[in-house]
Amino acid sequence: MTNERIEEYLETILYLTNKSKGPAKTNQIAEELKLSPPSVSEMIRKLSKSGYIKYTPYHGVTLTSKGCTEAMRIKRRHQLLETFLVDVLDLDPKFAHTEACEMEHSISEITLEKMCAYMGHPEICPDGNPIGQGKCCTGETSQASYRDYIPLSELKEGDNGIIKLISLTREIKDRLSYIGLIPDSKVTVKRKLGKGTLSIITMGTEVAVGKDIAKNILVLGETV
Amino acid sequence: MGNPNVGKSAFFSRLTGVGVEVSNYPGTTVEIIKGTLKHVGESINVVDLPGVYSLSASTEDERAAMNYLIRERPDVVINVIDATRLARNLNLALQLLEIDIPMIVALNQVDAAEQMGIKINVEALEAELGVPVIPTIAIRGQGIDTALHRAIEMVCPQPVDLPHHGRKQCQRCQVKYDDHVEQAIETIQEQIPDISRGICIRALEGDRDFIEGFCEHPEQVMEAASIPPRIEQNHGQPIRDTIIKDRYGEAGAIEQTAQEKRQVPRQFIDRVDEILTSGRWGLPIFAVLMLTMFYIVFKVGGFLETLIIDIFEAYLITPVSLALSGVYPLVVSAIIFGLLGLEAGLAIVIPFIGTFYIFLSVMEDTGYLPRAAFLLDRYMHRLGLHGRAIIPLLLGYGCNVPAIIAARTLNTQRERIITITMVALTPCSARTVIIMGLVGVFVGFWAAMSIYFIELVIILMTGWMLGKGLPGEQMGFIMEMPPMRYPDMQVIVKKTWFRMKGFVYVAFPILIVGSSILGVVDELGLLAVFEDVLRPVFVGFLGLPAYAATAFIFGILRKEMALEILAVLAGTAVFIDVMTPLQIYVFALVATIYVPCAATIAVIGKELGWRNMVLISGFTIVLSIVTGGAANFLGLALL
Repeated sequence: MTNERIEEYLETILYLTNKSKGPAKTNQIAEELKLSPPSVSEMIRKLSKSGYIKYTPYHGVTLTSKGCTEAMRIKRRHQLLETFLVDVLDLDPKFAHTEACEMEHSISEITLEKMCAYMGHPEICPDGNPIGQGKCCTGETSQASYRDYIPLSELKEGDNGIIKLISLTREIKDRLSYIGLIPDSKVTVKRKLGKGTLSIITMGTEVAVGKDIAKNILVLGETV
Repeated sequence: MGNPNVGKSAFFSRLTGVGVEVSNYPGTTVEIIKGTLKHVGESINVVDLPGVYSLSASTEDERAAMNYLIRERPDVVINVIDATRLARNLNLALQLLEIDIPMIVALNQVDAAEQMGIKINVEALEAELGVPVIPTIAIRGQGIDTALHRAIEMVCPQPVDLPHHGRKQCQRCQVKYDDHVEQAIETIQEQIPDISRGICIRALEGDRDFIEGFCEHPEQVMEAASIPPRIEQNHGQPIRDTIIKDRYGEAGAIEQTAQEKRQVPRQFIDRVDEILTSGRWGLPIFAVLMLTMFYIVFKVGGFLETLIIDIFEAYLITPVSLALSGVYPLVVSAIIFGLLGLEAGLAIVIPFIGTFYIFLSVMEDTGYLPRAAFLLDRYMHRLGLHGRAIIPLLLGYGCNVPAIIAARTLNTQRERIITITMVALTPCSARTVIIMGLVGVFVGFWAAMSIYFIELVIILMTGWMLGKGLPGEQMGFIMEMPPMRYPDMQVIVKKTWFRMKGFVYVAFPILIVGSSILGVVDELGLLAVFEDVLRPVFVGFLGLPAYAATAFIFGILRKEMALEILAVLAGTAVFIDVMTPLQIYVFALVATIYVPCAATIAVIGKELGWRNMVLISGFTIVLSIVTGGAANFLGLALL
């Protein structure tokens, strides 16, 4: 079974259980996914074995906490993609929805986080539903590959770090890069005011940046 | 041209003798300044461009610089590089080397670099870059002549009697990019023959403005450059980022080859610098500095003012009016009014404005202004602005006009509108003249300070309201912090004089002629008619003498003239004899808020369009009358 299919199932089950506030029935799932009930039953068995769902005969399917986390993650991907397609690219919402269904399975976490940050961590999807918060929204970094990266704003006076990821709009990124702040460049925090504005030394130049910018620059800290 | 704050203006000023402002913060030059110089009988045009970090422009002043480069195609570019920040500065140099413009490098501030323990091997750098490199100390004029000779050498193929004649032509340095980028360049070159490497790179970086300025078929080039998304896939990052990164890599490598650095012990000034921006001491020091500044301006200005008035009254006004007794009254009025105007100008403008500008120049020259921006960034965010806006605002206390122009370094239109509106309300030195020269001298220091305070509150509230009300994007605070340095007395004196000159040459003639005309108009009885029309507002609501209306009209020409003309109309510069303290206070309050001066109005129109100009002017008129009226009634109720 492919990831895509698992994701598709989990998403559907989440949708159905939310809608009916109870377990999802096999035939409901089959209807939503436009598949035959026997093949759905087959898949449900597999998912249940992998620990994503709990299946009670004659009652229906509910998500386990593992399955729920996974489903929420996919849902968020879908919503962010849909938001991006509608808000940024100005596509028709219906078309965006179908498109997002396809894209949600292939998009990487890195791209998604950048996309989320690019849009300023949106909270509402064009379809009106709230979008769940991801790691990037709360200022934490994704566990997937950026476990050791921390926002520049978390560094203390005198700390060193290497810039790894800058999730800001193109304009701001350009501005930063021209002044010498690019990924993989070494920085030292020279001054810091409380928890706010700080200045860093990069390429022998001191650059002051505001907190709102600093928190969107991820660095690999050498201390802490 | 070169990065911001590397000493381009000092270089230019030394080269041409044209007086331009030199400051220790990025973004002093926001306009293209031209000058000429004579060399062996040839006249050469020299242009000082606003600082840019890269060939891709993002602020108004950077765009101006780039447009000049693209449209005018200079014969030779002198790229001024700051020796203390070699790698960062080399980034622009490498970009300039890519596009085929003849250039030389002026390695500036070698003295400062030396102090920081940085030693640069000029020959090695020259060999790396493939263009002449001349070490200079622009602020003292060292190396400027050599740089000029080498620049001319670049333009004229047959150099005459120059010591460097016969030097072998080196290959200009080219950054070797990542294979994928190189491939992309080749792809473009296959599609469009005769296209230079530099243009390809600009196109790959997506610099449309540049391509449109440099190519005959911009669309074709951009089209060809749009193929490389393949590269982005391979790298997981946009091609621009790859290019920028490789270029910085090259810059870093060159720096390593040509530069030796040793650790130097921490200097006293670094310690001072640290305290000035520390969380605990930064803000209190800022507040104390500001207060001290106003206090000294008040003390010194007040002292000089009385001195000048006494001398004038005793040795000029009295003898002249005695000598003129019996002459036709219209002539007497014209002469006496003209003299009073001159007296008011000298007595009021020079002491206050001069003293104020000395302080401002010191703050600029040491690099304190960017530190203030750093300190106040957090608070500016509440206004929907950021620290960068502090510089125009503080400059606004000197003169609104350059402050409004300085707002060009802000990134978005929204930030510019908010900042410019706030600047227009900032009591500039001309308004300081009114506040200090009138309220400070005749009512008291703290009364004068209360006007500053009221206006500060108004400025902040206006900023806050605009910040809430104006839609639009926000770009955070990113600013280069120049190293702190000791103030150079010579630079400060020069700069203060340079700024004072504006007042003396522009304002004095208007003042003397205006006062004389006013004398004639007064003699003919026309003033009374005008004052009667405005009587309800000025006398009824604001409680001022009727002739204040005339003073305000002149105040639009130049703010301090409101006070000078008031002196002329009142027939004395000792205002307390003719006005109550409350009247003086209200006059100063209204005079400093109602519409900015003509020059400021004009510059707002130029920067923001006439609609915003009318809005801002109208807003300030209403604001001044409301505030003045409130102060009047409150004063009457309390006193």
